[in-house]
Amino acid sequence: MGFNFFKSEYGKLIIVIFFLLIILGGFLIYVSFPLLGTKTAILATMPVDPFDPIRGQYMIIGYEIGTVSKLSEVVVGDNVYVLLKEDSEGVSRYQSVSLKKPSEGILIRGKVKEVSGDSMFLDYGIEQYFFERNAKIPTQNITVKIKLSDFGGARIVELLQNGEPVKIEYADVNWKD
Amino acid sequence: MIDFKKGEVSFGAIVATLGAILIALGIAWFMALNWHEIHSALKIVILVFFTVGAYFSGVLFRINDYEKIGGSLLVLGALLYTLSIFLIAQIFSTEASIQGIAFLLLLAWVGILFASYIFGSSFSLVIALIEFLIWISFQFFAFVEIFDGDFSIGILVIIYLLVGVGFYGLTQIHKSRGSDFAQVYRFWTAFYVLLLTYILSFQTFLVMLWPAGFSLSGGILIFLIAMFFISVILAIIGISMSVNSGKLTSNEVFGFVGLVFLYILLIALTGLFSGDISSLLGRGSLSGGLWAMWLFDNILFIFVILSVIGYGTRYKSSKIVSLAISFFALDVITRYIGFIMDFGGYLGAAMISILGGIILIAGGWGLEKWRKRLIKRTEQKTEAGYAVY
Repeated sequence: MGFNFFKSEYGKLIIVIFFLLIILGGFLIYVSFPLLGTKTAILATMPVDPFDPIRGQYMIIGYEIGTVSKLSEVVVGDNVYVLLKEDSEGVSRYQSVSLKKPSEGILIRGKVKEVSGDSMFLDYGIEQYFFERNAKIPTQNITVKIKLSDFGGARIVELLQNGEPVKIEYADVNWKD
Repeated sequence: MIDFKKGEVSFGAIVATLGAILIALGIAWFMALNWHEIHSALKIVILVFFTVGAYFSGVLFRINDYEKIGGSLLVLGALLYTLSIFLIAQIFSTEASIQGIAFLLLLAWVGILFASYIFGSSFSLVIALIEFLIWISFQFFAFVEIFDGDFSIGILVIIYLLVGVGFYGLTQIHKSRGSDFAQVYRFWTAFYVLLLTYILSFQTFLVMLWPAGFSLSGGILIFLIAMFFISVILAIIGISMSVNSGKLTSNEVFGFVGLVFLYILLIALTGLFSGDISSLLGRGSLSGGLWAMWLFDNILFIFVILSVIGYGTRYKSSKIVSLAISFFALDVITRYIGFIMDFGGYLGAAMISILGGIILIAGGWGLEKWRKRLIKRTEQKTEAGYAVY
């Protein structure tokens, strides 16, 4: 019987590494896909929540476009498309919302999280921003620069304060901490 | 000289596995610390490099016949792979919602499960199944969050029951093929059965199993139907394979199927007390039916613990016996606290201890009798040249 490389330990190793790299690579492409888009928007934020270290150190960001007018027949879990319009300060604000993807314009895809009265609350998948420990991040007058894919997927590029990139200051690491 | 060669030293394997976990923890800590000076892409490369390195060295040890040390390094590879996923998610600030975390765990356990089967590594399989348990629980809560559904412990219990049934099927499939994975799946079958019985042993949970006005959302329903078919198909295939290969007795099959139907009946019967949360308010206001069901569930829990001990003894698995004893300890502590909370004193605790003690002594006597019979049968079959499964 001939030697079967893929049944040897090295062969198995190659199969496993290949499979795991496909998952990691696929995930990487999936999460970075919006960053490859050409459209950029700056979003106004609502007051930013304090740190919430559940999955590492991160802050929760509430967006102005997180609450929009309710669409009829919309249910929780639906995907909706929010059309944005840039104002004189360069901040993209809510213009309209629809269940169907508009053919043009700056749009962002959101998921209906809750419906209450005439409003619906949306998640865009960019409500959190991770950073390393010992970081000092300002929380006043914050806007968020994002990249958008053609399908409305969004990823955070950077945080802005008064229109300028936020400089994150890191305290010296005390290795005894 | 300490010899870590194949199948000889389990202590060395335990120490090496602890070492692997420590290394993974250390790297996780580094991630949580001040990494801002390193570019994100480099961080990913570093973790992927360590992951591949851990798998590579694991394979090297295995080739050189250090099976268990190699297995520990495969565990390290699995943990680093999980960390890589979480690091990428962190770098790209992906959703921190429950569904976001469930998705990351799904990617993690699927990859590790695949690696476990390719390498035939039980160590790695244990990591995959631990992550599976966390994933399935997170996924349930994510569905509740996403579809704005009502929170029903009943659905969670059904999920654990289905997983238990599926794992029982996997145990039988691997047993019939003579795979070492059978032991791992057997342990996890016992774990899920004990876990869901433990949940059912709570008065509070019984009335919360099916909250008043509860409605099942479409997403959870599809998830449950998919799980039901996968579990039942696995169980049918596994039982058929094991019975055909003469490694499973009809008594065990009837016992398992009976237990599953008993659970279904119990879960359905709790619907009679749906949303009866008011009955929990105030001492002595519990309805007679709820009392009876709670008492029955607790006796069942003791019975299941004893059965699992018997099951572990039958398959000579000290891990399963230890698991059952751990659940027994958990039950004693829980009931002790529960009785003090409910009755504001030690009378209830004293009563349940005496009652539990009587049940246990009777159970111990039964177990001992069973064990002796089993040993006798084993000796007879061994003399006749049979293997006992």
